[in-house]
Amino acid sequence: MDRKQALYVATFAGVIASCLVYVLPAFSPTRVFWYYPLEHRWAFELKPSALAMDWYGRTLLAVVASFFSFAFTFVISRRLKPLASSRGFHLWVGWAASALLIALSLYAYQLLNRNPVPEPLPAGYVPK
Amino acid sequence: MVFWEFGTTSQIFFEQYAKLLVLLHAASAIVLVGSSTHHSLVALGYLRGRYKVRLGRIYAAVVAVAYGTTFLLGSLAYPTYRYRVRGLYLDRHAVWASNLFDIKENFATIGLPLAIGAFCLSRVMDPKEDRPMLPGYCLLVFAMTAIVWFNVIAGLLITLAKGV
Repeated sequence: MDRKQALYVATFAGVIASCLVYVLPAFSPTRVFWYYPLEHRWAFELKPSALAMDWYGRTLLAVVASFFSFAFTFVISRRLKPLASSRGFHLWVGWAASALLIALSLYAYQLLNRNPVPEPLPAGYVPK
Repeated sequence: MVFWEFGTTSQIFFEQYAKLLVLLHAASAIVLVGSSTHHSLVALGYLRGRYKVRLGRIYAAVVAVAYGTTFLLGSLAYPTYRYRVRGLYLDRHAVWASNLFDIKENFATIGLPLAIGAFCLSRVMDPKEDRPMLPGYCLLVFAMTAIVWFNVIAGLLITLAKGV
């Protein structure tokens, strides 16, 4: 494949990997980095022990997966025959659209009717 | 409106700059929503046989930079939001806004490779010669623009409920 086609294929491989890896922690227990904003510390774990944010960890996971998927696919694609017809290009579009739809709809579905537990009000909190 | 008076809780990372960060985040988002919308219109033009390639490349580059900037500024303000806004207020008084924010943040991460991918493809693709690549390019551009618009509107609604 020429550089242009390999870049095209690698781009979509990166998008697909990013989407699928990003949703992985949502349905399969996965260790990620959690940031504890009140304790100013990071932890690589399955579940937090206090108020913590896993968004940074999940984002890092997705970015790393996307990068390696892109790089691997680009290198391999350069050694393959060119895509013979537009069907090959459209297949990648279909797969990427499916991965996007899965990722977006999964998070929307899981979060739409969530009932979060509020943090306890700290000492000194004065409503006005 | 409920205001918070700082008591004995610990300072959160970048908390003293939170309002400024959110303001810059909003300003960057304005650039992002404008450039992504224009980029979508150019991509639509490609499908219709109107090739404004140079303009398309400029918009792709602006979108990539604006997306990254908006993303970064939001991530720096996030710890303050997570406790002061969501933890203490939204989870108690406006659960819909709390959930909407989390949907917004996840959509933003999902949209990041789309912005980068569209930029990469814009540098090498000739929409007139590389017609088979056009549907893929348009998917990246249109999906990313839809995510950006959703996030801008969601962000405004959430801030109307409670900001940092």
